[in-house]
Amino acid sequence: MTRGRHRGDRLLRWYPAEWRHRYGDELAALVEDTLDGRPPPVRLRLSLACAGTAERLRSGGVVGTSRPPAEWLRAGALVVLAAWAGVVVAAGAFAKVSEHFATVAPPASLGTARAAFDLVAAAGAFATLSVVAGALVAQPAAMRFLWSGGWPGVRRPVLRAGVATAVVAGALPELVRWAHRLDVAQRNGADPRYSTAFVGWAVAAGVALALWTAAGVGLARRIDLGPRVLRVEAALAVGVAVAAAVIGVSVAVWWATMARVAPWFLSGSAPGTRPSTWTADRIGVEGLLAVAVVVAAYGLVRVLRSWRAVPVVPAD
Amino acid sequence: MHTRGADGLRRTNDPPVLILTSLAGGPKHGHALAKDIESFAGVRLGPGALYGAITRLDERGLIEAVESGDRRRPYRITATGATALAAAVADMRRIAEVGERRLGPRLGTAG
Repeated sequence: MTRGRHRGDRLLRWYPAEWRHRYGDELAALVEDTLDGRPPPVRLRLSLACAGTAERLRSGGVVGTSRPPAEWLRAGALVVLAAWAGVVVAAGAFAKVSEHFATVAPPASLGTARAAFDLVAAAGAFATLSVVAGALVAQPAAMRFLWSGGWPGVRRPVLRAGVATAVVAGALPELVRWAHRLDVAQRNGADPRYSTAFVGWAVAAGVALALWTAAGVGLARRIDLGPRVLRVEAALAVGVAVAAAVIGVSVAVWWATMARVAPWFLSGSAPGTRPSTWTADRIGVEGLLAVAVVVAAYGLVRVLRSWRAVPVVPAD
Repeated sequence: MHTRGADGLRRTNDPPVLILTSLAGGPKHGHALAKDIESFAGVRLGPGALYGAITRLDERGLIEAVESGDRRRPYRITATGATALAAAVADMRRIAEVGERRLGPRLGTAG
């Protein structure tokens, strides 16, 4: 293989495998002709990355109308699942920020914040159960796929997620032991070494969750679910998308209420002061939730638009 | 009334219209297509945009690959593609005629 051809092939890694199988050689030849021996400029790399990603989304039924409605339905449900992973990360950070909030002001002034917090917990539990139910419903088809030789196709992402989880789980006991040796103030930012370790662990946990989500999406795209199971998955995805929206709104309400009632609690300042409540925590959590809710809404629309077009019983 | 294949073929700088117009002059592979389009329309289509449009046109049966042993596989326009292009051209002509009529003498001032 010549260097130019190798380079052309490498630039196409953004495209899905089935697309590369059909058009990859031709596009690699066009890239070589366009470059004429020069190194690929950043603009070309970006253009191919964007075009390849768009092709990946299109071939997965996430965008466009070229795939059958059943693929739209499946893609919509998987988009909601991916958005839910973002909600879980944001909700984890929210749980940390909101620790002991009920003790910082008179109960009467915290009614709205407590209601919003309870709503987050209830919607989170509902969506988590829905995701677990979705995994259980898909489990027979997943097992059939794996037993019939599908394992090599999903091995790499599953192993990657497994290694990340082992790292996160392995570090947790030491982090907990460390936390127990510190007081509340040290745990909440006064000890920079512990804070750095905790943030590092949280990022690693987020990465592990993202890798499991990617592995789950990769597996779910390959298995044959059948129209009935697909509809059940889609219905569960609708519930998860609604729960994500409820969580997004409730967290915003909680933050707004706490900013009014006890702003010092949100910024770690002395009680009674009124510092800015637009902290990095708030911007990060609310920003991530906003993105996740928009993505979930897109998945929901995709599910609802394809719902009627998918037959209830398989066509023979 | 347009054929399904004519959907989305409304603007003169649309990659699908440009590709169909180029292939109406004879089969071409990717690089020759890009060069031809640049010469008659002044539009430089990057490899990603060109093959995105080729994929859509191929899937919709408006163009087809010509058998070739070379990696640089040529494409040709199909009968459906020619019909779609004719509909797009008729659309563009109608709009151009209205624009011409309404602009009147001002048309001559356009560079």
